[in-house]
Amino acid sequence: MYLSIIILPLLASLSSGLLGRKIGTTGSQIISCSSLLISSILITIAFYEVGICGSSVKIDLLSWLDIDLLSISWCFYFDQLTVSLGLAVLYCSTLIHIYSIDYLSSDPHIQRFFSYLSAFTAGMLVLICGGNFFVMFVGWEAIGVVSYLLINYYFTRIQSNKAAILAFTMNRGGDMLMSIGFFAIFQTFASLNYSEVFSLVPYISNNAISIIALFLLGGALAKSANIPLHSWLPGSMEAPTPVSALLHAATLVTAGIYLLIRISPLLEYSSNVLLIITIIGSTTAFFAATCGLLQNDLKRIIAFSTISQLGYMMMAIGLSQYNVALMHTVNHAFFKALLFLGAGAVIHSFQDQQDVRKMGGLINFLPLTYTVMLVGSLSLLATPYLTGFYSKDLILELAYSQYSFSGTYAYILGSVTAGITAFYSFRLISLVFLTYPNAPKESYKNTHESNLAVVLPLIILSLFSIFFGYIFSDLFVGIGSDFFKNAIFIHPNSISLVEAEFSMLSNPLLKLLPALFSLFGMLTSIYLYHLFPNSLINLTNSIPFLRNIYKFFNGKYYFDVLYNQFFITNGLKLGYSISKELDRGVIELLGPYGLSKYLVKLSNNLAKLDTGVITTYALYITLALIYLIFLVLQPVFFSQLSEATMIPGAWGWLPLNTGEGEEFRLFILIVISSLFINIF
Amino acid sequence: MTSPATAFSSAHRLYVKSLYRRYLKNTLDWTIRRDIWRGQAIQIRAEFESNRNVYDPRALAQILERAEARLAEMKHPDPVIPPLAPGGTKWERNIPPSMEPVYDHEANAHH
Repeated sequence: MYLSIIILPLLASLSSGLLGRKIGTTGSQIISCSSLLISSILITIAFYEVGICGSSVKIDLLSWLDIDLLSISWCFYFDQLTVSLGLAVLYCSTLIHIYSIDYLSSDPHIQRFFSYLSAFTAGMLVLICGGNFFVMFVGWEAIGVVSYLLINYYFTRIQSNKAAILAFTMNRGGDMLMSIGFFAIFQTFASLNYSEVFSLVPYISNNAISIIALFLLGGALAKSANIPLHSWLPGSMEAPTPVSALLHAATLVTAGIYLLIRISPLLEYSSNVLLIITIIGSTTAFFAATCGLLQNDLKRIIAFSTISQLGYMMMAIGLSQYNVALMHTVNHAFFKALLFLGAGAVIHSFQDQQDVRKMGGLINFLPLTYTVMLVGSLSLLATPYLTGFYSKDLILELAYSQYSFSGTYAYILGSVTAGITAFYSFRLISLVFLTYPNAPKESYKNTHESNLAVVLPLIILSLFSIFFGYIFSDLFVGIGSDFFKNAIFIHPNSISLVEAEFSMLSNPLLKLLPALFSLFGMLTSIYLYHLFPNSLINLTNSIPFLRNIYKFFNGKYYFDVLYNQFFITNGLKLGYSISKELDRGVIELLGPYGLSKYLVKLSNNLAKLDTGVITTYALYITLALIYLIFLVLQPVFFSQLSEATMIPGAWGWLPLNTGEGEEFRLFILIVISSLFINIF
Repeated sequence: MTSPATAFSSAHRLYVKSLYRRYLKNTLDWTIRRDIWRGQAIQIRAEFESNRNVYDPRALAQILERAEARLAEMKHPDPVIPPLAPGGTKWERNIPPSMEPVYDHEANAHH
């Protein structure tokens, strides 16, 4: 049963991809969706068996590599962490598969699309179910490749090509760091199996663990789009909307978070890295929220919201609250998938318009889509008793209750970010659904709610966005819950759930601060974009400074410009000089290319000696004769010379002793020989 | 289109029309709401109309230069691009494959 969870999506992908022409579009849709549905049912059973009943499963399929110390097998491991994340991955993926039936119904490459989607899900499952770092890396790379294919799905679009290449290269940069981390793990622990590595961690030097954790963090930052490796994510909105929902809600971006949660025993013994993670996470959350504040592309706003929420997850990991981070990952998967799919429904029914400035007044045309988008946004804002509340608010409370610099930093930035999140979420709602209709009449004429295949996933995800947190919060993050058992390790010194729960009661304002910020952001955005839009327009029209602020946020802090200016250009220059001077320079000159070129040149030079002029031949004969005489007489000459060195005053300036006489003789010979060669 | 054409030519008329359209579009990009933008559009029109009877080419060139500079200053960093227009979100999506020979040497072989 457990292997079927992984294999079914893989088989669906293969059948859609390789037999696409035979089975047709409907065939590929039926096969993919039914495989995913069966996998979802199986992961539910696995969640019951492994998660709730607490019996982890290890499947050792076969040996893969067995070289001296290095012993790697195809091992899959299902523990509480795996099944919890697997639940989000497979539920979202299945719903996205069903949604795509209608969303891409007019596309000419449906089989290819379904093949990629299922392959991606299979890759993600290999990643989270892998029993050692090596198998996990296989899944990690698989989702890297398939994400490239998915982002580049419209391969005729130059923007898609660029976005896909950016995503792939940036992820490869992270993967390189991560693979160095794996080498370091093997060097330190002589194993790549989770169980062996994690049980040895307490006995290993802190510095070694910190270095390993830093390398793995590099990979996680790239995959989970945290500063400074975030810029690929907004660009990847070029992919069709279901892909954005799959990649940026439940799967690809959560891979980095999963890796960090998985290596919790390592991280717990490297406090410096935890500090770095907290700082990066909080900064990312704030940075991405401010970027999303003034974006105009419907999907890009949600993309920045994703980066911001990933920042929250990183923050929770940095604060050693891995179970809360996982809870937020799962919650986020549901409400972000809902938001993306809702956005897709709007785009699809509105002549593929994505610019929120060309929408407005859609509440009367798309009431159901409005409702689900509102549910998703409210859940994202951590509205009490909705899903997002149980993890996002808790992260901020945990941050405050650390009573440390990093905790306070995270709390302040996180609270402000909550307000900004509310602002951009309701800016989106206002501009798309509430405000004056800003699009041409033609666009509204054909606007209508989508088919059942779209509506059904939206409704299911809304139910998850409302109730999942309420039902599962005590299991995942409740005080005293032993749900995760050994899957997550939190050092006893870092457990601060009790402080978070009770220490803030004395200061209710601090506990309510994020909620107050959210309320303020929400009301401000409705005021500025719906009720009194003149005030905002006057601000940007009359004050150049505010206009520049708008450009700065809209331009994503000019990160892309900086990268292009400094890193990409210099990287290309470095690559060019490596290729020109090292590869083609040294190696080729010393290799066959240089040798053959030199021999041809030499033979040409020798051929030039044959001038046909008798006086030149006489010169050769004379020079050769002098050289011969010198060769014959040189022992006599140099023996006199070495004797002369004994006489002070005559050869005293030459630093010669008897041993060095030989070297000097050789030197003279070389000089004369090279003179001859040069003459020729 | 930064350098205006010679005054009183048909190219000049096209240039001024383009400038007017660019002003309107840029203002709409900032304003978003069409009902509020309507008043701004009337203002822009009035400004253009007020210079309708300027016949001195030098004065005209100065006016247009000032207008271009103001437009550049007010330019929206993320202008609205219709989905099917070049640079739009649906531009070049699923374009039909070319039936022509891909390489030049193959094209020559057909002749």
